[in-house]
Amino acid sequence: MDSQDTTLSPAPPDSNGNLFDEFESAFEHDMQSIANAVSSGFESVAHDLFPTPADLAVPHIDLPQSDLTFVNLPMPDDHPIATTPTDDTIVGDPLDDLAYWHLQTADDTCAICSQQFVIEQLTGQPVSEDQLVALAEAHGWYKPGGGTSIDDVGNLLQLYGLHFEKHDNETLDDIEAQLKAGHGVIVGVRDEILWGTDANPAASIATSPTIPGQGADHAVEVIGVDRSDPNNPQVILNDSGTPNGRGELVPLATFMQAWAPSGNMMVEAW
Amino acid sequence: MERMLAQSGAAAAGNGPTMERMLEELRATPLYRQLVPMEAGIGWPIPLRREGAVFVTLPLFGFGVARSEGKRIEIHPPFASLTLAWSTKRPTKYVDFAFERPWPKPPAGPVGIFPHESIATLSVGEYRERRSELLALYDELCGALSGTGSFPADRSARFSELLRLLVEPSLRPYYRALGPSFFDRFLGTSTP
Repeated sequence: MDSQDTTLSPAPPDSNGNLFDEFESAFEHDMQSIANAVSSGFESVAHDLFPTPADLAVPHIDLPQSDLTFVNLPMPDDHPIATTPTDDTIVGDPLDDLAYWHLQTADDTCAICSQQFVIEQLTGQPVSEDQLVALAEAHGWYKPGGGTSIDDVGNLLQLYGLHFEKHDNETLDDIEAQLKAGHGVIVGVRDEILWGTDANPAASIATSPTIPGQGADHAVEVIGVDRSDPNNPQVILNDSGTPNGRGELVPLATFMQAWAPSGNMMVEAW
Repeated sequence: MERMLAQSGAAAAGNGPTMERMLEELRATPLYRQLVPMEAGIGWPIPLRREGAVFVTLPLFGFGVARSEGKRIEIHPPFASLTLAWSTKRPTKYVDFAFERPWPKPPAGPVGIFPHESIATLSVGEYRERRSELLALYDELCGALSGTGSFPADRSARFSELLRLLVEPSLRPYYRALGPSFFDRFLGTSTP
């Protein structure tokens, strides 16, 4: 195609009047600051224009004093894990951790709910999804109608006194080591693989629980690995994104395939 | 279909980036991991040419998961855009629409659902095929804009057809605001 023929003209220059207004306002503010400096000395304007790291720190937000009690439903007696012998073939403590699961109430709070499960597990303190959403939004860690960036997954844990580390290129051995230590584990996954959409191309798109092709767009908590059937090892998840997410059993191979697109990202908390 | 995909692949072959791979790899980049919610969707690319170089603007929008049987996936308006240089895939511009609004502040909450009516009868596999075909045609279009390939009328027509099919109607007004020339050219001006 001759480039002269295209109608794809360059985008017009930015014409956002508000932006100009804001720039003008900021400019006037700076001018006023400089004028003030004449009478009050350079230090004050330098402070205005070049704030110290302490000025830029995230303001302290009092954590809400929760009056919640655990309201999660008890684990169904017929959940497969309930009938599995809790011997060395089960890594982690999934029977206990199942109790903290709930279905996320918003479209984009899987990372927040995964952190909620870990907070409640490790601190024994009930917190609500709404509380965590408010805290995360106040800190800039959650965008309503968007969600939580990978770099911000884990920050809520720290607010509740937990330590966390985040790594890429982790392995199943790393997950199991964390579970054996009693730590919380959150991973990023490609949900269409996790939920089997990818493996069933003949299914109607109208039944797909997610938009195909979007990559690693989901966070879940790993609560155990079940090797009781050596021929069918399974990873046990608390997955807030699906009604079947309490102790969701995922074949190991499927889990590894779903985990890979996130770069095998794992948040470990203790 | 396979022949068409093969042709598209051949046109996009060589050293140039492919749109589909670029979209997959984007989520692993530092800027994306720092700023873009992992739950967000990457919208249909909007190519533009500036001073001879080709760039691609990607709208970033929120979407949910169908949390119960029979429930559709809710789509939220784009909250940001990320523009990449086509030849290098390096980010050149990130705009948070809470700071610089291309449209009046939309009401909170979803604006539409996925899948929309015109694709609701497709299978997952058929949707994937069409998506891949459209993204391969983007490669040809960007190649033509870069002056390294051609984008003949039949390919352009197919591109329009697929774009019209796959672009979510609920997001069209937002896409048009972000790339009016591109969407006027390939979707026409008569539909929203």
